[in-house]
Amino acid sequence: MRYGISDILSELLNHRSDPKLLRKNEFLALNDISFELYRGDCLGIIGANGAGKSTLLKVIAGISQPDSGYIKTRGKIASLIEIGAGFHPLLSGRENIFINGSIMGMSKTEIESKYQDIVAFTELGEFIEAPVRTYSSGMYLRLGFSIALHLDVDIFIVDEALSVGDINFRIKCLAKIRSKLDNGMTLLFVSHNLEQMSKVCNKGLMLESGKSASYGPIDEVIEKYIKNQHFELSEQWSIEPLKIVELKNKLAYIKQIKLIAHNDNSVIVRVSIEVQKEQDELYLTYGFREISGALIYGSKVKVIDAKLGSYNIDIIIDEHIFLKDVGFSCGIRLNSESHNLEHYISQSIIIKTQNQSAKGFVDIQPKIVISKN
Amino acid sequence: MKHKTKRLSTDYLNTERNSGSLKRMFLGIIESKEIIFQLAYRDFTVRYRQSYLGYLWAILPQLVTLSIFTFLASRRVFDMSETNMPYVVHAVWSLSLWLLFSTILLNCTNSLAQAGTLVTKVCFPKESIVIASISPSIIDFIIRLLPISFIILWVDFTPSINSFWIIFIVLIVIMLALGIGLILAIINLVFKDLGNIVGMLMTFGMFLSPILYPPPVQYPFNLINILNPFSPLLISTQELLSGNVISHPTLLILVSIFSIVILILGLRIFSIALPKVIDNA
Repeated sequence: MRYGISDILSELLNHRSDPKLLRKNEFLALNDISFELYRGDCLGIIGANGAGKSTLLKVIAGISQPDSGYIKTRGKIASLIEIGAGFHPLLSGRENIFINGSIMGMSKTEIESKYQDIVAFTELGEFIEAPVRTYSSGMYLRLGFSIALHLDVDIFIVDEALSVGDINFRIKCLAKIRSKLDNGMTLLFVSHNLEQMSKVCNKGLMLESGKSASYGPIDEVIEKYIKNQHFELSEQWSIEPLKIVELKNKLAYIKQIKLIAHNDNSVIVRVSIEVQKEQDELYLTYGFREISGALIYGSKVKVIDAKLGSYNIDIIIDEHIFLKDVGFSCGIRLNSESHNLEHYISQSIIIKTQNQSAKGFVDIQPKIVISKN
Repeated sequence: MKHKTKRLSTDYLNTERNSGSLKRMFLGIIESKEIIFQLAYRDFTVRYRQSYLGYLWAILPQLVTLSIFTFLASRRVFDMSETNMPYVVHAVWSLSLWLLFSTILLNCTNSLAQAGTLVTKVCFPKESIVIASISPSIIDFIIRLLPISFIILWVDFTPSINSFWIIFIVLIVIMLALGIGLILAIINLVFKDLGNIVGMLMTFGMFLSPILYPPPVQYPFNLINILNPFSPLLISTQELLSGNVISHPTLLILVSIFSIVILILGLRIFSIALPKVIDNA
């Protein structure tokens, strides 16, 4: 607060302090970032929470001003940094369309001509006349996004916006965004949905605590992000002695997970479990997940008449079956119906792949026959 | 063709947005007149949504204050001998003008802080928020002219023909309040106590201006009237209404110039300071 007031005063007196000089409790939210975008470009910005993504968007949108450096933009900018910023809860959806539209830079006649399209796009139907305070967050998003997507702008800035929309609406928005990109709009896009991002964007920027960590084609940046994000790739996971004490009152627990390379092009995932009380049957559920969390394969193994002591369960897979690095998760369940897991270990070990022969998750090794008629 | 000219006007370098000249500043305001209109419409309609008495609230508080003070004046609790028109008319008019001034000031001060994410998350000419926030006060003022006319008819008082000039003084009052309000709105973003302080000062201010009492004539109390820029404006309207000569024409002109300067200064400070404080809001 004090800095705010002193900043106003120094600005009025035309006295600028050295922007590189930080006062107490200040930090550089963004530093050393440069990129250029042209018509039709779509930049996906990724990074951990607090890396500075939203701040970057705010600076580009012209809301905040950088202390040093410059931003050149050409054309009309619209930003959707927060959905429904400026919506008034007491006013109806219709009234909010007009207010929000004019804040975003549309003229009244423009809004009137597009009003039907906007309402149709929201699919809110008669609820458009209801006060916005009665809307769900999804309806809020639909209204905010529909207005923004009907703007005629050259640069569109979207922050983490589509996350609460349902799948239909998301697909509809992405299609609309695509067609706008084809018409020469430039989009800057922050999301944690990497799948979506790789579909829409052509360029990527990865931020790491306010600095540009990677900039280039989107796929490369995403790849780097996933690799960077992830904890050390390990080949072995075992329980800490301290945890074992905690697990003593469990009926069974997972002791160790180990990755063993086999000579004949196969990999063994060995799960060691400790049974502490005899069970008629016991299940080991396991799955291979892609780093972002998508399940590639999941199944379960049944152990009948489990006696006290340790068991090793070997899961043997083809070394080249996966096209992406996958993590291994497993859990112990005491009966087939129950959803209560006795013990669960998530993404314990990572199986790296060298298989670059195709795209996707799993190498299904199709047999291809080409014949000429 | 229309589209093309429109695009050109927004075709600027981001970094130069806030370093425009005075002319550009005013052009910017004219350009954002639709936003101002929409926001004003919002501020106004929202005010009386979900309220049973609705627009009556524009008149009620004033009528209550007025009846209390008319009662006190009729009982000679304070001396009101110097008014040149019936006390009720004097009080109801002065109170309306004061409410116009004080609510504009108060609404402006709180406008940015209350706009929330609109200020911190959307890029658009933000002086529109402050300018729009004066609309409820102005409309309330116009609504209040109705009971004032009734009272004037009721007490059988004929306002002077010079009363026409009051419109210009009302405009000056609005400019003065808006100018100060723009500066206060910015400060209130980073120094939230200001909203409360202004609210408190407005309560005092009513007694520091010759609204319900005659202006003090003895030194040093008459200084209050000279230093308070609102007082000369108010006294002038009272004099115009009752058909008297304006007692301090130079003071009136000085205050008018001061108000215009404050408004320009306010807009200038606003556009320079806002980008700096927005991250601290």
